[in-house]
Amino acid sequence: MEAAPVLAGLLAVVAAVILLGYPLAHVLINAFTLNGQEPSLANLTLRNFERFAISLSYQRAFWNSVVSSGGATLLATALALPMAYAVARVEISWRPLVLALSVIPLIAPPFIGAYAWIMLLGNNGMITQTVAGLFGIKLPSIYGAFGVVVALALSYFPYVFLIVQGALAAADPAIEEAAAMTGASAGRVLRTITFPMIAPAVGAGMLLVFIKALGDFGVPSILGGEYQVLPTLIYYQIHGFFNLNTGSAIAIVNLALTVLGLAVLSAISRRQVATLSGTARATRLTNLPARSAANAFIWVVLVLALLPQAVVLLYSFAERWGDTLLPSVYGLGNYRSVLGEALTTTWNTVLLAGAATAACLVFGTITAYATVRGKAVARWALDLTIMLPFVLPGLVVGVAYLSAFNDPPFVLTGTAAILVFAYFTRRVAFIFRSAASAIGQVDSKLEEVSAVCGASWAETMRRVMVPLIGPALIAGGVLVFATLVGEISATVLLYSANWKTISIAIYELVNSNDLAKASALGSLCNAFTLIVVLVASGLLGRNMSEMFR
Amino acid sequence: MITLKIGLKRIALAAGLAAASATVVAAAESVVIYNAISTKVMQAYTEAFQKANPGVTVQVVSGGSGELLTRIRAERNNPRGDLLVGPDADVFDVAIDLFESHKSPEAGAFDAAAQHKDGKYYGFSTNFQAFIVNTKMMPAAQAPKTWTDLAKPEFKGKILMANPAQSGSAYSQMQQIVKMHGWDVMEKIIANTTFVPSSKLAFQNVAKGEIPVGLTSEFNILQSKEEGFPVEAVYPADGTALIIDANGIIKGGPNPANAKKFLDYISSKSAHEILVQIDKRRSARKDVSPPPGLTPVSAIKVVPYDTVSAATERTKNLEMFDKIFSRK
Repeated sequence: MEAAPVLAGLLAVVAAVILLGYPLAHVLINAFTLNGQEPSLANLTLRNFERFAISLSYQRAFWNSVVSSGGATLLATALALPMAYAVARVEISWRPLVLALSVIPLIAPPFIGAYAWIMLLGNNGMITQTVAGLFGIKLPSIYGAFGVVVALALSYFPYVFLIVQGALAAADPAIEEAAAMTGASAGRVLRTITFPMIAPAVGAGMLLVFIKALGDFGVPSILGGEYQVLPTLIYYQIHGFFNLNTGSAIAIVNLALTVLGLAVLSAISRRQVATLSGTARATRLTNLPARSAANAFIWVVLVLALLPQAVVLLYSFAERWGDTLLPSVYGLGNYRSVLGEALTTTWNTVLLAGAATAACLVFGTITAYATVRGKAVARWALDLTIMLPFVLPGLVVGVAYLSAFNDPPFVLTGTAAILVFAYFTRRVAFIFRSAASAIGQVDSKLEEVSAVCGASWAETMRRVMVPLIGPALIAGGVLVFATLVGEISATVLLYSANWKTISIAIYELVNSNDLAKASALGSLCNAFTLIVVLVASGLLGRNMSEMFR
Repeated sequence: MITLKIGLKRIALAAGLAAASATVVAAAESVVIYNAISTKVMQAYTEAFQKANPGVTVQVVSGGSGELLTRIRAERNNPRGDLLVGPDADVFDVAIDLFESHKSPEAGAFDAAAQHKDGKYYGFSTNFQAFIVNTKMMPAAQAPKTWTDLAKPEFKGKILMANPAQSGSAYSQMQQIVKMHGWDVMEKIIANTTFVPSSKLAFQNVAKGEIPVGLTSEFNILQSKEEGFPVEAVYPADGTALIIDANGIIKGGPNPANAKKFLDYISSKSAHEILVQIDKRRSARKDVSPPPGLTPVSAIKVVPYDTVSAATERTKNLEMFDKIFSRK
């Protein structure tokens, strides 16, 4: 065994312990000690969890979280699967545009979008008013479970859509054709061939939606009204009472729910089917009814999902928008006043999110390699340590970092590094997972052959492994970067004045009740991230479709 | 290993940049503001202060008052901020040990009620809590006139209030109701009212015509009205208190001398005039007149508000609220 892989592995372990394990230990200890008590073995208690047994509002928040995240996952899947099929298997118009637009809900800063839903579908919203005026129909209220589920589903459905359409595009249609030729009905082909092929992808996408919905604070806090969920409860305990202990305990319950979701979904997608094939051809339905139906479905979903951002864009040009259906004065004033701030904060975001993405790529790939190829003793522990911060709400990660890295031995508060590391912690699971699945698909014989021919381990990595898994890594990296641009809940606790990000600049304006300028900055932010995604996919020489294989 | 090297170089670069910027900051003088007020006002202050104190950079870290207090508490062993600007005075009282005394030369301009007895905070704006009423949805004649009116059955489902555990102003509204009329009335109000997590929504959604009545600070009503929304302010006839928000120095912050200078500046007459002009708030200084458009104090029945008891009773009151709220 050479020194290089051992060294790389050691480095990964050290990083995992300091950046992931150490702050996470703070969360765990907090959850099991009482507010104001010193953390020690003697003080360990389950009292923080007691409220789930006795408090009605805790129990209600728990079930609300289950229902809203579960509902959002199902609705997102119901929207995403037909859309993925339509994009991958039907000859539709403007495929690249459809794929590019579908990324927007994932990258848009979340907290302005939720305001936009009120402006659209609130009791006095634009759509509500129009529908009432035209048809005399009163739409259901968006406050509460209904609005939360719809808004979450429309924000996160692209995860299922992008992953599944990637899997469908990669799958060899010859199997389906063979089944059809031997007399299977279209429904039977879908059920017995197509679905099993894409089941792992569907499971992975659904899990992402479930995790994201379960950790979302912005949507339920604005559309929920009195509908509390676990993240709003955590916010209330930490920022309202400064009770990190109860906050951490709620986060642990949130975590348990995610693990449950993981178990359910892995049961669904147990049958792994090799989908990587060298000869995938694109065969797409070209008949008119199929094309019309596909186009119609895609655009209805896209328009619904992009409506909030369209409102944000409209608002960004509004110089005055009082009690009228549409703005009364339009202009570029909002853009003029935020432009300077946009430039400096975007640059900060690029540096911070870029460094974090690079760290995710290096660390995620090495650990994925160690997990897939190596005989790592505590493989499950590594896997768990990486996944945990991904499923913890950002607020909890932020507080954990703040309390772990403000005092010696590791003093990082006030630096850029704390943001880079917190971002890294929250997103490395993304790269880890996609690298692991990409490495799993590379036959280990290729590496053995390279070694037999005299190449060192490092050389084998560089010349064999990296080129083979490169596209998957770049796609993962782009997604990590793009979703970090709008990160707010950890950033607001950790950023310092020299490292103000664009998401903070937007949040400041929202807090100042300056929604028009916040919208202008938000629209600039959307445009910037979209350009990054498009350029990256252009550099790869692929379209977005292939990036999500 | 190439990837690894490049990655490490990039991380080293970012870390180096951070270290470099930290040294730059240490070399030049600065003051770090934990800021809960509007960006417009803070920008005006930054410019004015830097002009008057050449060589001192004002560094602003913004957030909600809960978020900023969380930061200060978590950083208490190694404070990173110099001043906390803009939260309600009872936010300071809840964690008064975290703040530093300072005898400001401006102290004489504030009433005893508008400053901490040991100079741990000085008042900033002082605002009446009032009802924002959307007159398109509810004619002024039908609007609630007193806190007890809010408990009447006809207003069920028509009132919006921020959750007192999530918003300082909502907590002070609840505290006023409880002190004046007791928990019986508050319980009925809780039954009538929809609670939202953010104090912004409590007036924004009334302005947008989502619901007719909201509980908020008076300047939010004036701002919404000037933006063109059909809203009016109703000051409760059974009395409302002036709620003071404040500024104070964080104990053990990195730039104590500049912190004092900034606190003196932000408590000065000229700084308060900027606040009145831009944000339409009443100043806590005796010698600064309120913005045109706000109801004069003489036309409002004023009752006292005890920030210290509001702070000491906070946990007890919020638990009581939670108990009643979860029975809904």
